[in-house]
Amino acid sequence: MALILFLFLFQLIRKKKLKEQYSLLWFLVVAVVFLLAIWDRPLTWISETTGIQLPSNTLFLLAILFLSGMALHFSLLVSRLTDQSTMLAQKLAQLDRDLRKQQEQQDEESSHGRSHEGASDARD
Amino acid sequence: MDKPRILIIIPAHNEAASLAGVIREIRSAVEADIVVVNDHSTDDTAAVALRENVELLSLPFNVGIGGTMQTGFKFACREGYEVAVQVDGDGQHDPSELPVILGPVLAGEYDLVVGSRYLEPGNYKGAAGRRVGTAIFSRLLSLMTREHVTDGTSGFRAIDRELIEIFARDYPRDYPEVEAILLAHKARKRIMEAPVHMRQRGGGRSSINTFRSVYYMVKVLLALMVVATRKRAQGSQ
Repeated sequence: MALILFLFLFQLIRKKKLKEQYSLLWFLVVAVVFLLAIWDRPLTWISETTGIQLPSNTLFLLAILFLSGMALHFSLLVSRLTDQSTMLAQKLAQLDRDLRKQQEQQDEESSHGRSHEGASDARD
Repeated sequence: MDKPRILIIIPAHNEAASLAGVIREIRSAVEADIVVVNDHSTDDTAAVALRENVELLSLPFNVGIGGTMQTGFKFACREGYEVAVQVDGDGQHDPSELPVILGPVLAGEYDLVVGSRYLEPGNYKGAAGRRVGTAIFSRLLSLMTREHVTDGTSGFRAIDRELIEIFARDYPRDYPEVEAILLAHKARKRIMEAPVHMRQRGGGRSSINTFRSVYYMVKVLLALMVVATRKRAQGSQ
């Protein structure tokens, strides 16, 4: 299972679909899963000291905590990206308008300078 | 001194049907520059604006009313306008009442003037659900700002240069009207309401439906709470 996950992950990175920043984190997760699969001592130890009856429940708890943390992290990331994309959209609208104004000005100047020459191809 | 430069900001999302009429009404009511901020309309909104020969800012994708208005505020800020007014593109706001909204700001008596449909009896008041929501927000706003607010959700409003700068930097994303009043209060700006009449929409579709209005309520309440606690945190410093 861990092996399949590892290979899948490797494939994603090779195709550059996953940023290295995240790949490190997911590799860590795979490593932990791999480790716990062959050596369950830490899991049973945690279960015994915290009073959790089944070691598998400890695993579930840790997994839920980890995934919740990731979800929160991604929410923050999406919020930031939304803000950034809005700012880009506003900037683009502004630049778009400036460019149009500039073009209009140029059209005016050229039509004043050289009668009607090239007036037809100056349109967008 | 010269006459202060006024910018009328028209946020428009698919308002091609009513936009030209609104622009002409504004022109006959006041002497001001007009900018249409086109929130990625799929109809002829942009073409109408160009034909009417007003400034046009076209957003490449939908950013909502807050982001759209902020685009206008940024433009006003950069171009050095002293007063900015929001007039919706759907014809709901009556441009002939612009002097009522503008007057107190031009006179330097107030920094934010909000057009309220509840100050005079016998106006078009909108659907019942909307009325209840507006009443709740207005009560809350009145409590928080200690000002008499009756129509906190009204978009028909004028602001001074300093608020243009503040809103250009930071303006709430969606459903910004209520929160913006609180932001202005936080900036210690003088706020007043002026009586206006709201008309039935000239064209287009209202963005409010049942699910959205619930979302609206929750979102604005949350935003108010956030801003309020932020204010307290700043006050204690």
